[in-house]
Amino acid sequence: MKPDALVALIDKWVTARTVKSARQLSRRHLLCRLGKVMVGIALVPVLPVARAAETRLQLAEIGDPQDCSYWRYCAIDGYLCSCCGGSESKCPPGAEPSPVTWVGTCENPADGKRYIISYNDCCGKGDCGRCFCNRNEGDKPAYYPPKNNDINWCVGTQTNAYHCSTAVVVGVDES
Amino acid sequence: MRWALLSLTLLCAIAVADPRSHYMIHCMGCHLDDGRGLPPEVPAFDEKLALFAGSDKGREYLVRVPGAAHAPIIDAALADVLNWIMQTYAGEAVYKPFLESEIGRYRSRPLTNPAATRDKLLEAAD
Repeated sequence: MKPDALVALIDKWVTARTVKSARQLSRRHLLCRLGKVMVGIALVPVLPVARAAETRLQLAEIGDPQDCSYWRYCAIDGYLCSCCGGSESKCPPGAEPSPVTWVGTCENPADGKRYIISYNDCCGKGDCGRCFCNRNEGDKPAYYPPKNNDINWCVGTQTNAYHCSTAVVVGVDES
Repeated sequence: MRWALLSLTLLCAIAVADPRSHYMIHCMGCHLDDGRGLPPEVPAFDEKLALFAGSDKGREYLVRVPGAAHAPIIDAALADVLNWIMQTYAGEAVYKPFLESEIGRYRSRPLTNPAATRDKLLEAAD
């Protein structure tokens, strides 16, 4: 069958179904409403807004990123980059973010959801020395390296000198 | 009809996102968010996955590597993560999905030298 013929066939079928359902169903019929809702949900990912949110989470946050009690730091162990010329998610100038990280989860008090946090260390400069913060939610002993925050995560960088730590929100914990 | 639609919607809701979260929490720290890893210490998730998943020895390797074997999640969840990794990073590969029973059989004996096992498997495949 030619593609055009197939499209015409689908068109005809959809038209027939639409006309038939319009005749048979009242405006308040459950199926009508449900159909609208389902189409609506299916269309949400197509909207540019939804696609932008996927790469950059729209977070409601409270608290001070320069304070150790800030929610994202629930599993951090190190100097806060936000006190060292960077921010909670960016390295200070001259420091290189380590690609390899320790990943934990923290509850955001602003919305009660758990988020996945990547604690990328910033490397290539000496200890920052400001705002030391050591909170160990979910931290496991050192014989369990992938889940331990005491080790130096400056791996895969130019040098493994540790400067400070960031806390980047990478997703919602749906596990 | 209503109930069929409703249960279908519920089923979809239950099936979403779980393995991806587990990937992010337990694997992404080293294998990175796009699976490129940090070779040679952290192997990349690439087309070699299909090669490993195609043989019993290779499947055993994928389950017994320390990162997988030690991940603090139950066998069924580890099977889901491995299948998610296959679907996401192995390309168009056709493979036999990992089952909970297969995970249980292998993961109790984590590999002590995963790099050597990997080299041996790749040599044998050449």
